[in-house]
Amino acid sequence: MSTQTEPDDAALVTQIEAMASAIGLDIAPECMPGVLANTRMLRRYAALVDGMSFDHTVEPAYEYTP
Amino acid sequence: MSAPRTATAIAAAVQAGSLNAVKVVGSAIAAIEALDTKFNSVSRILGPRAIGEAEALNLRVRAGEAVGPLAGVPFGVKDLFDLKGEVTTAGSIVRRESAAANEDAVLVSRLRAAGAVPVATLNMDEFAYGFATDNQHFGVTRNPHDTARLAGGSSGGSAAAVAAGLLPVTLGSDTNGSIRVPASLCGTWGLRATQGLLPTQGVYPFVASLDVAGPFTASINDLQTVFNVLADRGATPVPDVGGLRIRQLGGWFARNMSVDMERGLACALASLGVTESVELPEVERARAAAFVMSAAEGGNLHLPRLRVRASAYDRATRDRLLAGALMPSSTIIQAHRFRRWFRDQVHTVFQSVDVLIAPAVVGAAPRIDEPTIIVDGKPVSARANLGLYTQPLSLAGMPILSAPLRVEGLPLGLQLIAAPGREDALFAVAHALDAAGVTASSPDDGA
Repeated sequence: MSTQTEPDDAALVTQIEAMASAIGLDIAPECMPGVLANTRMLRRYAALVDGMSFDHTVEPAYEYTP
Repeated sequence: MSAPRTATAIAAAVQAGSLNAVKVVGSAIAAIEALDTKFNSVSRILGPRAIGEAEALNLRVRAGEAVGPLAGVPFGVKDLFDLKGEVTTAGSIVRRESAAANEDAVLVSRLRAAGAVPVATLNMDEFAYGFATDNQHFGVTRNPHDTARLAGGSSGGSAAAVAAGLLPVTLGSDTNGSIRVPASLCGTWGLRATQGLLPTQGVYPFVASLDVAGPFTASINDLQTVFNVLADRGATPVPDVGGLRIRQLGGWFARNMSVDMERGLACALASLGVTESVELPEVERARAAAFVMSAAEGGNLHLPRLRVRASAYDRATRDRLLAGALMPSSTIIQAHRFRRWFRDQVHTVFQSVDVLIAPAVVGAAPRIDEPTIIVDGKPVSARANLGLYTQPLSLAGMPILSAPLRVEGLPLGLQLIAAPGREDALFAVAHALDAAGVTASSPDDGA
């Protein structure tokens, strides 16, 4: 699991704006509180996912195979 | 004699000529018009079109044609299924100006070919992103058992319309639990079939990696009949429940239940003689992976529109999609690798088990004015967390049947889970629970 300290709101807003800019997205000021809250929640889930170690043979499952 | 309420009873009477399809469809439309102001389950009534189809069906019955196992059965669809000539809004004003669909969704076509008649589109969380059916543009869908409470989502209109007795059959979609959660909170049957078994052509996507379309009904017999139609197969034999290895799903799925949910689950397990449980590994990470994939795929799908029309979205959906579009690719790929690993673990469990039983929700429907549930002793958002028990299981692609418990007070539901392709085992267990009086089918079921 990630051991990084969570950034404060101002730092996270800066990160969000940079990531949004990279994909041509302009986040309006009225959206930012909601995007901030959702980004914090997603980062907690991402830390769980990223914290799992796999053997190199475990490939991504893009397609469903029963 | 009162009019039959279940699809199988309606179809039998229509095919026999003792019930007029126009009358059935007209009655359904009249009931929606008279009662749905209380529930807000319906977003559009397809009046003239539905009556026209019913008239055509009557002519075929009179001509002696076998019109199908769902003859004259009125049904509704979550407003993300294409209906030829109608705009598929996916619960959003963003799509209101879109072109009308050129053809029906495949599953709609299959129901119509079996004699069923589409009469309404149904409310949903915008673009199916939520567990509440609280839509900024089309309003909240209220639980027919207590209109101060949520119906659950995102297929809340589909569940509420069946629970209110407005329609015997509806279609919804389940990405992270959007059939199982509202079915449980509204007390209906629902099915998330094996991923990929039921075609999703003509169903507006949310998360292509996880999306499954499926039915809601008021009885287990109807669920099985409708599933066979949707799967384009004839009636298939159900195995003897006594020969199935049934276990409780423990660990993550045995924590956080309300007292009533624990009691209902215990009753179901006792009726089946189940005393053993099994656990799945890394369930919390499975839920996290489903969250990550949903946010990222949803965000990517909507990114072109978010760049130019973000303000037209429901605020809650918009902010979730915007955040999802920013997910780093490495995490998304890691989530897909986790899915591979988790599926392997789940498939291994099903080598020694046929059916697992778990709660579908932690407790009864939350109040609309207090949309929270209790998880680990703390109140958390219902919209984001009602899928606590359903979301991790979406990741593995198994078929899951949502069974409504016969309980005092507000509805609760179970998840019956089987290996991929084993819907027959789910129906066997569901019929056994229903025969034991543990679950709640409509009074004229089996008529």
